[in-house]
Amino acid sequence: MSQTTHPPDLPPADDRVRTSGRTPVQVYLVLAALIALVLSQEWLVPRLDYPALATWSTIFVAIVVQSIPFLVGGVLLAAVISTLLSERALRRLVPSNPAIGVPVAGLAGVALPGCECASVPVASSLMTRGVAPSVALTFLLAAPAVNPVVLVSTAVAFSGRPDMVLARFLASLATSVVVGWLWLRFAGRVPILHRQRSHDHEGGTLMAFAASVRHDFVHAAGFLVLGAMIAAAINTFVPREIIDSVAGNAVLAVLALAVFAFVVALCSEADAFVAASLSAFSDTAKLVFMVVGPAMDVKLASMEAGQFGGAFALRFIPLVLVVAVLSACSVGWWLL
Amino acid sequence: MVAAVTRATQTLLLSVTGTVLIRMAAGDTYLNYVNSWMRWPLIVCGVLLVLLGLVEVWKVDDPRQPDEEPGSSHVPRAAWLLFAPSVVFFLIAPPALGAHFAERAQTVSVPVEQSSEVNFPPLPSTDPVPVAIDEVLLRAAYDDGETLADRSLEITGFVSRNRSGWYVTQFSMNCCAADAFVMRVLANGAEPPPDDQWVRVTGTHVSGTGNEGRTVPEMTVESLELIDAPKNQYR
Repeated sequence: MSQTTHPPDLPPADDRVRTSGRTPVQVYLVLAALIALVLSQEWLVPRLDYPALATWSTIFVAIVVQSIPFLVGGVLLAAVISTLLSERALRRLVPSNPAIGVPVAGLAGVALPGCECASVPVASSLMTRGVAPSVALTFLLAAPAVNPVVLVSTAVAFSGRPDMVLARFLASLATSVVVGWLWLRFAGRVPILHRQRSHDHEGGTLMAFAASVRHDFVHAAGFLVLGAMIAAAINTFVPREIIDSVAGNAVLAVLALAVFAFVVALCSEADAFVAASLSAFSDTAKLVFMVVGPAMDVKLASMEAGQFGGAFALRFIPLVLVVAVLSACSVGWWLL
Repeated sequence: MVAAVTRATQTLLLSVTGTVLIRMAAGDTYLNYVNSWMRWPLIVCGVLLVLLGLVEVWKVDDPRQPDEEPGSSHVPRAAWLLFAPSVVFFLIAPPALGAHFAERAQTVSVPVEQSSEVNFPPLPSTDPVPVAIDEVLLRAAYDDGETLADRSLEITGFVSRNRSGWYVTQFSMNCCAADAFVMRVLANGAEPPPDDQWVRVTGTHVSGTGNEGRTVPEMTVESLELIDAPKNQYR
């Protein structure tokens, strides 16, 4: 992959990839392949008629179709941050001391109702505009987990259980803030990739805005699709009884639901309903499911590895998983 | 070795994805995957993606900007995968979830609280009375099926089966098909139609079944009619 690493305060290296020779050939080949597929549709569709494949593709397409509007919303917001918001305005919004910025970012997550896939490009654009990585990462974790839409859907799924809603809010907020502080203290030197943005402002702000939206979307969408493929395969081919069989053991139940939340990659607005239906499990295990899911799942891991690079992902993903499980367990032990 | 996605191909990628979204949402196909309120967000997104693709065509035509302009050519190869949903959509034409997934999906749980006193109003007096499957599940679970007793019920759903027999089935969905739950009523006393066939079944609730949500409600079938699948197959 061609990508550049640079510390956040240096201007990005200006790599140029010469594409002029390849451009016409590739696009015509791809176009020809697509037209061939469309023309052979009548012939191919009946030959691909297997129930398991149909189920997988329904869930795969469903996850992608559900996520794309949220991803587009996320890249639009990211484009606003990177092209329209001035550095000064951003500095006024974000406290200069990251140790204070982290909890502020956690609470700011309350204000952005959205899917987790929206927050990856937003966090990336915050970092490229000079916001401390720990603050941007806290926002990335908090925004999909503690916003009002998620809390209301949790209240509906667990009707008559306000303690569950409170526990979810506290555990998710604690997860994002603790991860932010740990990152600030111990991971200041972990390299974070930022895929180079186009800096041409010819054609004015509107063109720069469109270029930023397009760039962010193309970068993130492939990884979103990859995550959706894996999640749909787990949904289709792994029987639920495997999960249910460990519900009786307190420790195994927590671990099983943490893994389950990671692999099924549900929207944070919907996962409370699934959690509520896991009736064989303890409340703490259900809480773990709802805290881990929005913070980290296979779709997010794939997008973050793509956006911020492998070195980042290898540290960030396990850190978030461990902190989320511990935080949900302690809040569950305290409140539920 | 996979080639990097050139800018021209990105344009194609965006336009194809946008067109597929618009096509899905313009008809009823999108209802196979997501909720009905997603129609307008999908159309807006589709138009936006097509426009983003076209912006580039306009820019490439601009003589001041040569092809090898810096910037967005650093596209991860994973971007190729964005073709996958469109290709899958065309080649497999994924249907709404059906009998195959009903066997392995999470059964909907009816939250029954022992302390709560729930009084259901009696069912409307038409005979047979059309009821939704979730209504049957709730009434069977909460008031021991008292309001269902001695009534001729008419329910619709598709056919799925397992070792115990065949079911009138529907999926309930919150956000998208990935979080679908299966809701079903075991049908007694009729030959099963083929899997995934939509049926309208008239019959009576077998008293005691589905009580407190621990078992699946059962019905004794009196008549069975094959029908076309509704536009929105989820509840």
